[in-house]
Amino acid sequence: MSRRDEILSLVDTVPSLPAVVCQLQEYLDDPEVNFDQLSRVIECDPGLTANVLQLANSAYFGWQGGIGSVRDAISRLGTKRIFQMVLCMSVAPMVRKPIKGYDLDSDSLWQHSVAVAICAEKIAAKRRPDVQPHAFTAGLLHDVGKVLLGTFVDVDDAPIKELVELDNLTFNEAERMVLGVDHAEVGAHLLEKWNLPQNVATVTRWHHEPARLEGDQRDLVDLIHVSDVICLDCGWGLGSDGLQYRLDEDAAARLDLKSGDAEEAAAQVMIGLDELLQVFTPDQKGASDGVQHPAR
Amino acid sequence: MPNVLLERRQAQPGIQTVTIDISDMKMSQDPNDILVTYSLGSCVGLALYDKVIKVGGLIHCMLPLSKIDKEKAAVRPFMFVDTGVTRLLSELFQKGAQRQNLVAKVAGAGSPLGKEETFRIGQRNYTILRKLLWKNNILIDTEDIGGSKARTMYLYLEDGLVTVKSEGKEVPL
Repeated sequence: MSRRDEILSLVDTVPSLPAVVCQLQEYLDDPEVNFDQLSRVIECDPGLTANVLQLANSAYFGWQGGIGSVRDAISRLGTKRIFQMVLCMSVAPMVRKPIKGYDLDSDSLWQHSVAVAICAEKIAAKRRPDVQPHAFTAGLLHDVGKVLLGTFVDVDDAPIKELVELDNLTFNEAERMVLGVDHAEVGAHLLEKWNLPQNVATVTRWHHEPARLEGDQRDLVDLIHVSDVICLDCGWGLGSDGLQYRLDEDAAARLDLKSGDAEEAAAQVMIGLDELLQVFTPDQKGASDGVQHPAR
Repeated sequence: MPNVLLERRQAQPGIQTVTIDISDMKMSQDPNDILVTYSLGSCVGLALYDKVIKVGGLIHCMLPLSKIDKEKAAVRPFMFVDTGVTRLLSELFQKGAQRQNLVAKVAGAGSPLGKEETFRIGQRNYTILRKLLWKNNILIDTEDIGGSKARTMYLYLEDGLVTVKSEGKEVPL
């Protein structure tokens, strides 16, 4: 078995997403389903219900203090938003752990995922409103492959870094050379296994090489690619792979983004993270406050 | 200074590490404190230390200029180089620091691989920082900037030693 096959076979060992995510996903595609049916799916799980209500009342998602029930949340914020919240809650335990190989502490990948979700959504609102409904979800999930690939990167740390340094490869190109697969492709396989929308898996697959996609998919992959670079630049989720990726300047040009736009988006992410991550870490007063990092 | 000495220094009894998050600043005059900031990519870290009264501050600025969003600058002044460094300087002066005694060390301002000419956040952060320090008659003593590696920056309050850790190696700046 090749290294690539060995790694990809591990995708099957990753637990499925909670049933509620799959159920909601099905309901989202079904025009016959009403708000009561949707809210019942969430209300079966009291913990999830409490969390969804907290998120729905967070400054980021909109209605501070006014939402008292899941049905209320769905009717005011829309089914797509509720799905994003449930997905956030379901993915959090999987990415909120130290990621070997990339030298990320327990909150770094999580912060990065949420940061890219916010960034993509903010840029989409101005530049690509058509794909905005997918921006948050795609941003949240784009790096999920690191969770699986990290152990392998850890073992082959030296040859990967050597390729980056001596051959001027990006970190994910070096992953492919050494391991036969990069974190983007592993992530895409994982999302397919979880039955998440195909466009989100495809965008995850090519988030470092947006030129590989065309049409609608290119709009979404441009957004995620650029947001990923901006968020790494700003330090969210910066690990041992550092900034060893390339910005596709054409993607930035297609979105008509200049330095001022990137900085504006980054500032919005900082504030959005404060508002959103507070819900996940209620004992802390701010998003990034008090996060303990291991000495890297 | 070899790594082992730095590690021993961090492990001494009574020594406490104070973390500065992205878009934040902290000051201290306690010789037992080590100020540290992680995840410097294109952000800039500036350590200012008055070698006479031994007060120091470390700031982690994400973006160059607050004019892009005055409202956010009011909530998080340390997010921007212009508002953050100005505030750090004024707080240090309030503590009795003297301009001529301040030692300034800078780390970060990195960029992705290749000729990244669209955003240049790191370059712009560094340019604005340099300009601001120059206007305040403060010269940068030493710096470790540019490149694509993540950096961690430490300021040891006991004697003003500043170190930068990258890919597991911590070296004095």
